[in-house]
Amino acid sequence: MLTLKEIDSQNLLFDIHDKSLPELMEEKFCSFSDYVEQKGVEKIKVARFICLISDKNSPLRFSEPDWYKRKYTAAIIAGFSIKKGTFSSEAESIIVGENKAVNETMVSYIASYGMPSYMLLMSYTALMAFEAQKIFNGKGTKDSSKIVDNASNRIQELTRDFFQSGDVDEYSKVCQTLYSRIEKERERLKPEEIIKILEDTGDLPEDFNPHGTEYKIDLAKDMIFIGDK
Amino acid sequence: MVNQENISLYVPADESFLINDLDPDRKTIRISLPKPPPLETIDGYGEHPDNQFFKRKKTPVRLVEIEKEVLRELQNIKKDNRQETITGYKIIDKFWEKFDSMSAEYEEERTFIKHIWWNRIYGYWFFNNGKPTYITGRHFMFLNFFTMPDVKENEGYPEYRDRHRREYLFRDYLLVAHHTFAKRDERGWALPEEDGHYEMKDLGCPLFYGVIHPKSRRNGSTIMGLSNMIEGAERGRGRYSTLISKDGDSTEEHYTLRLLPAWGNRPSYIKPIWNGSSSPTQIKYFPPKNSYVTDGLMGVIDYTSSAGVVKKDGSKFNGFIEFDEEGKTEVDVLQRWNVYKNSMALGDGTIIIGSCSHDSTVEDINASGKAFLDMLETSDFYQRGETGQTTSGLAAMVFPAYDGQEGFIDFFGMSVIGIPTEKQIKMRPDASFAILGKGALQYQTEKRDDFIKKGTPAAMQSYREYIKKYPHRSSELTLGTSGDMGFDYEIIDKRIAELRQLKSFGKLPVKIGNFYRRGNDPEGLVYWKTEENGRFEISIDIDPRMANLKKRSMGWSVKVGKFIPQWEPVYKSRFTLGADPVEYNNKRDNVDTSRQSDPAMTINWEFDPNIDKGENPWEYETDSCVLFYRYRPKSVTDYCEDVLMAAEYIGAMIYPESNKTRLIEYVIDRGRGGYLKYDVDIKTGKVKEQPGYWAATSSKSDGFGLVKDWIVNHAHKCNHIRLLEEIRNIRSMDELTKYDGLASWIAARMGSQSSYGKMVDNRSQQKVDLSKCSWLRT
Repeated sequence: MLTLKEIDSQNLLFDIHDKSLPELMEEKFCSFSDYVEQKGVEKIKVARFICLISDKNSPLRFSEPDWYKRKYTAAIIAGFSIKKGTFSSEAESIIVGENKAVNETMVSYIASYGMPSYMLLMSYTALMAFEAQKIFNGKGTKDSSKIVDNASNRIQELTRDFFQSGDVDEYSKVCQTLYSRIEKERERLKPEEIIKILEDTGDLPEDFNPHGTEYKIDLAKDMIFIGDK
Repeated sequence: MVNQENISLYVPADESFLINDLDPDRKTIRISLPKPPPLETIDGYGEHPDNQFFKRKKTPVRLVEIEKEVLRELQNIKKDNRQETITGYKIIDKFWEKFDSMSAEYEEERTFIKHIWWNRIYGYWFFNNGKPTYITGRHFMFLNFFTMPDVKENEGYPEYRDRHRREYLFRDYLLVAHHTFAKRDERGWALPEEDGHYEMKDLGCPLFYGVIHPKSRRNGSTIMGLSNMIEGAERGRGRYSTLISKDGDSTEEHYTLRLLPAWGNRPSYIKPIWNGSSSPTQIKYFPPKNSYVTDGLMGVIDYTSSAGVVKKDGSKFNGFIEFDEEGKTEVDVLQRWNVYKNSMALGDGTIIIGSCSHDSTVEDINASGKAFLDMLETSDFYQRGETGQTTSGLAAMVFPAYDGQEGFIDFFGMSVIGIPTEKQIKMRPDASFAILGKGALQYQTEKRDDFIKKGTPAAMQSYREYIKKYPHRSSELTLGTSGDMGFDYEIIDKRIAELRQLKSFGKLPVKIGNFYRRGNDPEGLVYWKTEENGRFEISIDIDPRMANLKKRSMGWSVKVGKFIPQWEPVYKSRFTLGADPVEYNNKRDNVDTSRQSDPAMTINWEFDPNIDKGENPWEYETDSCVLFYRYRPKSVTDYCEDVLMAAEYIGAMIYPESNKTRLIEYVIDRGRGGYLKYDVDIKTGKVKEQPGYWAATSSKSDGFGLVKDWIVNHAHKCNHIRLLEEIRNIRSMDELTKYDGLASWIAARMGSQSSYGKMVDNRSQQKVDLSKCSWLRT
């Protein structure tokens, strides 16, 4: 098994040896800031775990093709605490996908590559929802059920592809996070939705910014009176 | 691969921008700008500066296709069933249904929409001639989404102009400005520290309702206002925007011919759901009645068909209000603004919830535009009250006509003010500046000089009209162009400009106040009290020992039918009070408020050779107006008493309009018939039976002649701005009924022609030596 020291961060999105990894990850994926640190699964360990699982250049993608094995290995390398050969309950909840902040960060991490499978997954999810709605409304056509079946299969395949989980279906809550993210993106471009986000949060989502997440404009601070000359 | 040679030509972004910097009558306002983002993320990066200019965002083809498809489908449905009308809701709903069903494949389009929204809310950066340039979100929306059906150039979209950039920046700054000046003088003027900087105080809430902007024709401000109305209504939930123009017809025209087509042309991806057709009389961002699942913005855009004062009193305006052409409406726009201002704020003006713009074309600001100019005067950024707001709640924004003039805009949208550069000419060879080889300032100055060189009355009138159309500074906004009265407007305008400047610094050489009688006794002595909202303006200091100089004599009373004792001034040839009494209702003693007329009076200080001994009337102190009053009192009696008190205090003879007898009766009834001034037949020396003058056409004409002569020698020293403004604004003798102050001044000038005062004074001073009459000695 690989050790943390042996992992070369050069091709990864983050340097997993960097002590400021949690801060860097928070800057890039704001959902990570919601993660509440727990004993044995400190932020830096969880950040390393997310990198090892989600980075498309992670060495574990090749050394550990089995999805469950990969997760187990990543948790060990990241340093999740083990007592008497088993993970602590806190670590386990992260590994099985029950921690919302970690799930969201993983999905954001993978989605940031703009992978075709992610886009396709979005379209199939939309298509299935659209056809299902027709069926529920009694307006389904003779092809509707066929479309729903095909879409369902493709969604399964693409979900596996997204998580690089081989033949294993990821039925954990990470999957739910993925689908809810897709649903959220599908909805939020209507003017009414955008205005709602603006009024609720006072800001637009980060991915709306053409200049990157680090650039901000705050007119109340940026535009001030500075003199009469 | 980015061309490094191009990048080496780039210059840094501006750190600030200036407002009112080209107007010598106003202080410059410098506002900081946002810092630029990483340069490589700015549109135009990598290009050669010559190829960097504002380019509209091109809507991705597939989004356009969806829109077309939706319309086609809805039209087909309508063909099959006529009841299936195409509505805004159906278009938008179907658009999103289609888009969502394919959105995963449309990542590029999704990103495009997201970026449009970011630019809409936070602004837009682009490279312009090598410089990272920031424009506000509202300006971005105006340039990208406001189409004009009557404009052929630029596919009907507005052209990018740097002047507009500054206008929009200032408007957006005012939306977020919450600082006031920590140090101010007693009139609210900001005081800088010794090193020139201003200490600012954060009041934690917005302080401006918007701008007041005197504009040149075809400047684009009105359409910018219409675009802002849409933005005002679509940037939040439950917003209300409206348009108010000079009259109902103009308002409807702007709404129907300009706003609706532009709004209708906006693409579906930025259009909220609305309830109604494609040309509604009121745009309502509501879901249709039978929709229970759709969420609308619940906002409204409409126009206010009446320009009246309180048409929409009670409504809450939390979007944007465009007040258009307020300089040429008959409505009292100041009064109207006070009503609307209340509806744009909560907590007695402490929480401003809406924004607005007051735009008026300067060449059309006419006699009734005085209220607009008054509003402008109370909107100086540097003069604030305790609340941190200007008196009007607005900020004045003035650009000289040469900044942004049509035909004098270069390829990059910059105003060509000075001599155009070779590059400017090369890149826009068809523009006026390139053909003429000169900038707008030089062009306009030369035109002004041409009129002056000719110097004929007609040329001078044209000169004035030209300045009015293309003013270079705030003081030129107040110029009159009437010219047909034959007055010397140069003198009047110069004096008005001087007085306005003095007024803005609180140094107007007049005192405002009221006259009262001691002990409230009708026979008590009159005294002066300076009061902020006084009815009188006086510009002479009367020594208290010289006030109330009156004596008793016997005078004939028609009413009683015998000689009775009555008061008269000790000196009857020093001051003449011209009175223009108001129309009144005999039965109720009430002032008739149905017409725009106020009772007025002015006092002329007669020429006094003991004071003005020289021969040059230009230098005289006397022969001038020393009191001005134009006020609508509760009753005619109040006005008559005001006249009497002014006359008694100063010692003036009253010269009233003979056909309005109420004032004459009042003066006699109060036992002061000796204050009335009569005309005297210069041939026979016979005194006319009635005091005052008859308002016939011939006497009006004579009166205007007297005023004209007075202007030449004395108007340059007149301290009564309201009188000068009336003289400047009147366009014909027929309009005199609207200019009550001037009517009273004409009366005062005509009264001064009467030799009655001198005659009575001389008679009382004559001493007949009877000592040699022998029969008396016996």
